[in-house]
Amino acid sequence: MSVTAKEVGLVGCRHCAKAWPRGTPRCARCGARLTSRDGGSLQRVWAWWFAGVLAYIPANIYPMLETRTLFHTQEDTIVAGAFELSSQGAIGIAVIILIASVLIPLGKFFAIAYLALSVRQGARWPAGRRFVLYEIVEYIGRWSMIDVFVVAILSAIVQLNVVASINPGIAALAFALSVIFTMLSAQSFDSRLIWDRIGDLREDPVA
Amino acid sequence: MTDQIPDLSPTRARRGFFSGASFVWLVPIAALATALAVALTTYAERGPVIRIGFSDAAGILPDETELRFRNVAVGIVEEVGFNDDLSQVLVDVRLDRKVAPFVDDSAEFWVVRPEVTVSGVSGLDTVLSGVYIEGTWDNVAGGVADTFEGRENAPLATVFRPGTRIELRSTRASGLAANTPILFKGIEVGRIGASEISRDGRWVSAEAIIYAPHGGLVSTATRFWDASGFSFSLGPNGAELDFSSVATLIAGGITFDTLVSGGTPLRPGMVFEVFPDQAAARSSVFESNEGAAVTFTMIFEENASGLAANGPVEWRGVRIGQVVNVTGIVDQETFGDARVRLMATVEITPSRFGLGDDLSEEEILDYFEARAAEGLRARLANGSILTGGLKIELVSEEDAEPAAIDRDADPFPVFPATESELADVSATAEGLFQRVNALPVEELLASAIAFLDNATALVASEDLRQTPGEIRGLLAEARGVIGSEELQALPADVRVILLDLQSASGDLSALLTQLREAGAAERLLTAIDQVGTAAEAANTALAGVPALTQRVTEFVERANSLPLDQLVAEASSLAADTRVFVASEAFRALPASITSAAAELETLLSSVTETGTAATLNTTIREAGEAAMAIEAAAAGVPNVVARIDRIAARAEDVRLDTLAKELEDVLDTAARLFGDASEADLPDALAGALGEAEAALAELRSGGLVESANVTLASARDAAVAIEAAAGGLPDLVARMEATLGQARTTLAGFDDGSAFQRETSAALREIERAAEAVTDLARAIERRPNSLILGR
Repeated sequence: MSVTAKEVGLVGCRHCAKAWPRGTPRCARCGARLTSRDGGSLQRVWAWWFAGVLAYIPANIYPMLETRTLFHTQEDTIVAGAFELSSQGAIGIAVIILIASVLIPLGKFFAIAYLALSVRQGARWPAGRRFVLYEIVEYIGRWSMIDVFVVAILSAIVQLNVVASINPGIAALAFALSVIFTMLSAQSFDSRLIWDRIGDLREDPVA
Repeated sequence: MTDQIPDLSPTRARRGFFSGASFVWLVPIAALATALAVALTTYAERGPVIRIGFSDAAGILPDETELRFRNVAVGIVEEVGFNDDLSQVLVDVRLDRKVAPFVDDSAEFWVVRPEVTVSGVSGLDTVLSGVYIEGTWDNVAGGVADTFEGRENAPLATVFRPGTRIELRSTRASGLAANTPILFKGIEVGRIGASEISRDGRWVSAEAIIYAPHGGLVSTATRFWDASGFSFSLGPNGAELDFSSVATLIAGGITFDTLVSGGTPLRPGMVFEVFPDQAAARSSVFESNEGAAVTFTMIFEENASGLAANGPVEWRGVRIGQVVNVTGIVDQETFGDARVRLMATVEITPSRFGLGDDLSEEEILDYFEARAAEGLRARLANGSILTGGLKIELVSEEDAEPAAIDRDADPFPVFPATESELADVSATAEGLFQRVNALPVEELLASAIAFLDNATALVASEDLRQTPGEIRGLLAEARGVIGSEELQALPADVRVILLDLQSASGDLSALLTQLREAGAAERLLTAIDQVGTAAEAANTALAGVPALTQRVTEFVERANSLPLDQLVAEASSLAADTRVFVASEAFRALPASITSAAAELETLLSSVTETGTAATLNTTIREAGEAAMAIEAAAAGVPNVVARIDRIAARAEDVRLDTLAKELEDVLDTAARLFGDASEADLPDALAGALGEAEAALAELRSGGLVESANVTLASARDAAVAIEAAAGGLPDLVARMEATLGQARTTLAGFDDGSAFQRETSAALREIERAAEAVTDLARAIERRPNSLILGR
């Protein structure tokens, strides 16, 4: 039904979206370098992805918050903190934390992995839907930082010396890194690759 | 074209994937490397896990409770669980790698919890931080052991306070409470651990520790005693409140002293007995080296009170053991009736009996059995008269009924007892006290008080106070009399009289010359001889006079006791009257009449000379000789007269002197009145008449020998005066006695004054009490100021 620019011997500028014949090194309009497909894209995606996953492990194992009250020091990991909140009745906040800190990062890992794999191996999902998925991942990535943001604000505000203080745990750093790596991974993905094998998929049953 | 492109792209992509690896891969690789490195180091630094068993695990939380050594965390609890039969809580502790080698068999673990005791608060920090497990081990690395038994309490010797462990035991538990300090001169040098009862129930024994470096203070010659509580005594040094420290006041304390030299130095595990007080500890020193003791039961028929545990068991005054327990026993089978008998369990130390220390119990029992067969018996005897306490005495009875030691008796062999020798000391003492009680102390005191009252009244009476004044007045008046011009003028008059007398004597000598010439001397000599004889007779008669004088003296002494003041008053008024009298004109005229009388005397003598009366005088002298002879005869009767006078004096002695005094008073009154009248009346005239008569008397005097008797009379009067003087000399003595009585009264009164011993002691006692009160105030203030000192124990 549709063809890609690559198929018709064109290359689109990623900045100003003007189409040029293949082989043109630079966009005459905006001066950007023109490449039909980014060859290292998938490599970078996977590299960031792995880094993000690695960082996500300590982010969940180690405590996110260190709450120090007069007599007591409590260290909470992300999940434990959420459950603690829910046990105290703040189910809404617990759900938000769980979604922002667990569901979304995990979803992103799966989504990016799926997208990256589907470029190589083909996918069940139609390209349009995968593109939407990619756009959601890119859009939602920055919101994962909400947890880090909460920790940063809490530790800035609650510093009542001896009586009570909240300090970020080591997991906060790991989590922030994980989010950053995931975003970089998502950005590294060349969304044009989604469309490249559509023809194959469409043609294969025909062929 | 379209066919070629798909062919190209996979090859290019594949080649890029393998050869042109992106630098981004460094990021996950770095992350991985970091993670691995962290994991490796963590693993490498991880120490071994040990397992400690506790009876309960209150407050121990996994991953939170620390294991501390010298208050530094060296491990953390990983897991808390149970052993197979749930009888113990097993706590797994992850140790630090560095300390792990030291945690060997010497290690001990206990849970530190907040604890509030009378001797302080400990583990206060665990209130906030939660409990922790404290461990102690020596500083020699041994093999790592992995299973330990946790202690219930902190051990006495820790790595902080090493020391020597000993065992203390006591027959009473009061001093052996856990955690009681062991004090030496008020300094804590040790501590007592948990106490427990010995298996036979006779002792309370407790593990204790003497901290290093105080171990040198303790040797086998050391005695421990209970220093808890306080003692209050009132003695010659004032009130004394004595206690070692507030902690010992509340919780008790053990102190010790090495009372004799010698003894082997302290070794771990030595056993010491704790005595109830210092006196008991001291007395025990001389009973040391006990050796084995044998225990007997003794059953006494008497139910006497006063035998108590720790009472002495003596043999000929030597303490050879002590009473351990006293109970009653009813055993119908053995004794045949249901009477209650006194059963004493006694412990006899054979070494004090002179037996060796190394005898076995069997040998000792054999020995006592042999002695019992010879008549050794136990009996009750009075131990202390004051307390009525009893002791057990072993005595040898010559004709004792045969008896033997019942060795099979349970629980201890029964030693035969005999009739006791108890004096009812208490009854005697009671009798004594009753008699003391019956003494009329109150009456005695009442009499004494009444006597003192009377004495006070006497001293304070107006009459007595006025006496000196009156005496002074009397003296003043006497001085007035003597100093009066009239009396001063007397000597001049007397001189005139003497001049007249001189001329008279001149005439007299002329007369005598004539007489000599007339040869009257011989006759006169004869007459004088006769007169001498008469005088001798008179002398004899007068020999009785001293006795009379003696009587008179006694009489005067009696008179001494008469109401003198009144007399003095009267006398003084008499003196006043006398002065008036002397001052009168008539009196002044007296010398003149005396002079004229002398002149007449002269005329008389000259007439005698002129009329040639020498011859007549011869006759007269002869007659005088005859008269002297008559006088001699009369003088022979004089002794009778003296005897009579004597009798009269004796009677006068019997006469009631007060009446006499009264009469004397009256007489004096009369005399006073008389002088009063005389001063203005015609007494001088009468006196002049009297002088005229005296003149006549002088004429008679010439022939009479009355002068000598007058002399004697004057001597008597002088004696009387001397007696009066002596009596007056007794007055100072009386005054001195009075003074002494008053001094006594004053001393008695002063006894309640300052400076007396009683006062001093009372005030000293009060001062001491005041000081004690101040000390308590200081303490209270100190605690108020720093309440934490109570908590910190400082």
